[in-house]
Amino acid sequence: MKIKKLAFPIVIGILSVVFVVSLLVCVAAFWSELSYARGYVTEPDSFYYSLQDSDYSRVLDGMYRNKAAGVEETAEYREIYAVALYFEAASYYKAYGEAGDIASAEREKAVMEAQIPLMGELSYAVEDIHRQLGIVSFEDT
Amino acid sequence: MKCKGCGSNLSIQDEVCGSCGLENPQYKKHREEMRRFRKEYDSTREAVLRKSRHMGGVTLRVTIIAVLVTLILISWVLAANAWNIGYFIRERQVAGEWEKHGEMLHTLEESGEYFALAAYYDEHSLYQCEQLEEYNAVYQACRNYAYCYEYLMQLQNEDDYTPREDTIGYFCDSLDYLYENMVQEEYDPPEWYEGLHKATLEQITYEIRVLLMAYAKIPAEVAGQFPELSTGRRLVEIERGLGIYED
Repeated sequence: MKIKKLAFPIVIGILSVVFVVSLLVCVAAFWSELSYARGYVTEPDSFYYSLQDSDYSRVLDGMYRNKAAGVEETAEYREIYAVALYFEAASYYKAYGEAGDIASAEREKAVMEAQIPLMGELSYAVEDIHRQLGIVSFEDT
Repeated sequence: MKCKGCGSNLSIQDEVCGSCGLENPQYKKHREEMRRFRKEYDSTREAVLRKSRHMGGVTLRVTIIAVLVTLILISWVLAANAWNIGYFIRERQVAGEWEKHGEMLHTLEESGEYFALAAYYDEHSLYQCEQLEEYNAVYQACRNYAYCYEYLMQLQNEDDYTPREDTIGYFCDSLDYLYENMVQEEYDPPEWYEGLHKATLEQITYEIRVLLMAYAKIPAEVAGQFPELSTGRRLVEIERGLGIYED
């Protein structure tokens, strides 16, 4: 009789727990879907880690994804993006120069010169970029 | 009925005759029967009320259980279809803004910002937009070009944690996909490979060639033939250029 009396509350309790868990799973699924739809945004800290590892191509990729996602360009982001754009221009400056495409190389050189004043405290990266790409000077090619 | 004493009218509810005062023999019997009927009625009424209360309680419990089970099933179905629902919503959003996206893609393609084009296409899930299908080939080329560039630059970074063999493998795979998507297949619409798109694909081919020459140290004549080479041959040339492969 006692068991019969307790059966209903126990069933309700179990179903309530299952419902709460199902609801959490449902919310997690939609949250995950929302995050996926929002795309991947790179925060300044992630950029700094990449800069520390001299992984400039990753910084460049993060910059383009942030711009596509419409992330607001703070002063911090602008300095980081200047490094990324400098790296991109430097890589093509060397490549065009060695291939004999002087016009394209000069175009990339102009981009490089434009980014230097925008780097702020990250201007130390210029030397590292040159070392990594094997650019001795602007006149290297 | 009539009184047995004086013959006057009597009702069954009269205990004595109103005329002669004689006791009504039927009254007692009637009173007993009424009591019995009353008792039966009360007991039946009690039983009915008890049963209906019980049924009401059972119905309520069953309803609560049914509602909970339904809510659980609904949340499972929604969770299982979260991606489909999100895809449908995104598809509607993208379809509503396809002109704006088309203009942006055109601008980026015209200015040669291929990495930005790939990122924009990915961010806004433009593969869901039928009206922008003509950008399929260009997008694939830009996306694989971006991967090629990233892996090639990682090979220049001595501090990179990924083993060089792995990065070279990823680079070669991306090159394969890049060159595959440059070629118009039998069922590909011609507009994918015409006009500005054709110029874009040619420019990307050129840029990859100069990058291969500068950073993979591929000789100019070999770099020019890269799109026609086999996957294995490309790998050999890259490893040779990077000083890994020895004849």
